[in-house]
Amino acid sequence: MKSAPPAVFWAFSTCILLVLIVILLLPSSGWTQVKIGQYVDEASVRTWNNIGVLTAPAVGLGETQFTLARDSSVALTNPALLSRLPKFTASLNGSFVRATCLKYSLINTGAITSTGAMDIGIIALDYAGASVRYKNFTLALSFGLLEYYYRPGVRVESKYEGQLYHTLDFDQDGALRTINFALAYKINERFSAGIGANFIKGNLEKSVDERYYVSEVTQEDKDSSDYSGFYVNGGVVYDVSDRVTVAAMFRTPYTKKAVSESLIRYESRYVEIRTEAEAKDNTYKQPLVIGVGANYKLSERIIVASDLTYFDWSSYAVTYYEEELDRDFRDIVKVSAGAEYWGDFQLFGKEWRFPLRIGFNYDPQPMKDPNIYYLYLSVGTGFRVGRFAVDLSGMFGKEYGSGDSLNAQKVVLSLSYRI
Amino acid sequence: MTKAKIAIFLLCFFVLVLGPSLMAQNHWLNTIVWVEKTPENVAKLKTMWLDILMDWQGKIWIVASPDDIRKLKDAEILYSNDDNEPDNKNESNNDNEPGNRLHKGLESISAQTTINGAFHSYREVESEVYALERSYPNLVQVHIIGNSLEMRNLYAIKISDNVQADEEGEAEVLITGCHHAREWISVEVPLYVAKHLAENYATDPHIRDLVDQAEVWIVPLLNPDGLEYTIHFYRYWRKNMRDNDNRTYGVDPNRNYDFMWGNDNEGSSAISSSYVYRGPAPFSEPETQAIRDLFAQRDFQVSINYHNYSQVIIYPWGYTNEPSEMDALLEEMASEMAARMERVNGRVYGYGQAGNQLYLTNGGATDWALGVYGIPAFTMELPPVDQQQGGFYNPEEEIPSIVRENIPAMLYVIEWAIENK
Ligand SMILES: [Zn+2]
Repeated sequence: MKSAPPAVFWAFSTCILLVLIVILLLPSSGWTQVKIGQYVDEASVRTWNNIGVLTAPAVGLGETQFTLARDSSVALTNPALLSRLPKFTASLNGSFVRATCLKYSLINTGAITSTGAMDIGIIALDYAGASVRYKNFTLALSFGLLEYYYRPGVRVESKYEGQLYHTLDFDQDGALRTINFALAYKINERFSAGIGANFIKGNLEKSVDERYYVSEVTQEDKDSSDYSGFYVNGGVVYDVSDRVTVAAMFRTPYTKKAVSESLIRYESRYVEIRTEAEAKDNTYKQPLVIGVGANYKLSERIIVASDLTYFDWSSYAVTYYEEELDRDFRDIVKVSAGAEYWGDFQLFGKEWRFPLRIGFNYDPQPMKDPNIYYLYLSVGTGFRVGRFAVDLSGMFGKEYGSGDSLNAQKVVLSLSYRI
Repeated sequence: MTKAKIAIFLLCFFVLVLGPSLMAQNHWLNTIVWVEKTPENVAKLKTMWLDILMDWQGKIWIVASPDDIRKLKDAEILYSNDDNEPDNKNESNNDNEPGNRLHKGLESISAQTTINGAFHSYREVESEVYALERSYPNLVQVHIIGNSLEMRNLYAIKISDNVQADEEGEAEVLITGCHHAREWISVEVPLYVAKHLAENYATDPHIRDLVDQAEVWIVPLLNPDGLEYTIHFYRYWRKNMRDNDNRTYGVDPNRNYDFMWGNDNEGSSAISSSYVYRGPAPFSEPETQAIRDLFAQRDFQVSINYHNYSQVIIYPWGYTNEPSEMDALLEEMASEMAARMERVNGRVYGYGQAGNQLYLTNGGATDWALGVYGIPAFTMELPPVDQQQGGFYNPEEEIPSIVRENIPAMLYVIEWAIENK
């Protein structure tokens, strides 16, 4: 069994930031107000719709996974598929996620204006897991990195006659991880069912640190939260015929609990003023998720598959320091579809099999206003030789609806060992 | 000769610049509190290196800095800072004494673990005003005088006898708080003044007298969107949350009133990224429109707008250095307010014409009240005195004392309105 992957985070984003835009355009007639949109503080990078870690085979198919057993990461989405894996599997997945965001926290919402969208780049070892089958049972243990709360850091420097007199630094970072124990049972040759228990842990740290050098004044605002929670996921998979397989999955709604601390601090030459707060019972009510999927084998070599995933986001609610935060969300259905071709060749006296994958993904975000969605295209390939499987996929998307022209990409590499 | 000049200059400089701030520091930093002289407390206090003032009438009096206050809290020593002067002890035992009541009120609020500490958020203001209305249905009536850009309610608390009725002939006074988002203390004072009037009506004949003869309108939180932004994103935000459609945000509500609006670019700015952006047109903002409409419906004799910081009472004009026709009256009223306030905690509020005191402002609420309605109006810049003493930040522990010293000024203004109706 592999130990938990140290989630290696990296930010490459430095920001093109700066200075205020000083052009007064003609004011609009209606009342317009700041709308943060997708990237409220607790939003995961790239998408709100996270139910597991999708490894390279699924990403190549536009994040289609409910009917296709490729590695033990299915434990996080549809654990019934575990019973269709080889007797023993162990997998690792690394991903590079890049996304742009424009409005988040105090950036482009009032205090600080950037000249353009900001880049988020994260490299992470985001999945490690193994599965083992005994008779009709398959057991899996997985570690997954579900969400990232990282935001591009910002530093604003103000100078007067060449002398630095003011700096502002903004930072935000954090992640949500799960440990999943899953069990699948093969009811018959065509039908399997599975269930998983997820123990989640995470954190979010945010800070604004401002300094005035001449007057020696410091203003700090720090917020931190430690998350925990538990949910159950499960699913079934059924071969309707030799060519057609269907599946269904669910994730229970659950409460992501947070223990939070806040500090607002002001310090000058003469005074230090601290306003501190602690909340032990902040809650994020996460939605029920229900998914269905189907695949169709066109031939021995070609398979097409599609998933629909429903997120009950209208039930999403955040209680933060005893106050309900304004999160006006709606239910959404995410659509993914892909096609996979399997080829083979001989090399070094061994048989190599390789997949070619393409996919499509429609990923609406839950906010009612602005109503936005991402469209992705994906490609993927890899090889199978002996007991090893290697897959590499990329997914490239663009956001529509906010007017901010955000985009997002993901490149994923998976390694599996199978007996 | 030159050396002497330099020396004199430096001396003046230190006296003028450092002197007031150091003195103010003493005022500001230290409050006098007392604790009951029990053996347990004495034992605890011995290890705490506090500045003990005296041991008097069964109490230990301490000159406490905010740090000392924290130490007392950490040691779970109950303390009270009801009064600076032990001579007032008898009064301070009276439950109706404003200090006692406010202190109690504050403790119940501090107990909440809200992210902005003892200061009020929009939701907390909302629940406070409705709680007050429920507790005193004959004295307190909550009005929604408009909505902010983000559709939060703008609450006005009307306080009067027979509050349901619009009684002809009663004087009317308007008090506003939080035009500016980061000025958290400017929410607390109007809110607690409202509580004070309602809670003491039954027992304090003076307050009963005033409330019987006046209709006091209190808008504690005029810029709720901005306040929430300071709580959740950026503590130093000032304006409202208008999207100016050019990647800049916010209009300064206190530059958006239609009197000498945009008179020059010193007293406000036409540049939308400026922190004193006056907006595209006078009364372009729903927050200021709400005040405009309230004025149109009522007949105010006087108004006070709470802000911080500077610890000064300023009055029109703000848009020019020239005095208004009402200058003598305004000065007299401001000086009376300052005198009454100083008597409470010893804190000295300066006063003067706005255009001479801080900087020029145009399109402000205070100028507008005088310019358009011809009534005396004041901007109460609450403590601290300057940036070194905290700027827009006030220690939570200071809320009661700032509220307390503002109550007599407020009562005076109501008295004045009644006399001059
Ligand atoms: Zn102000």
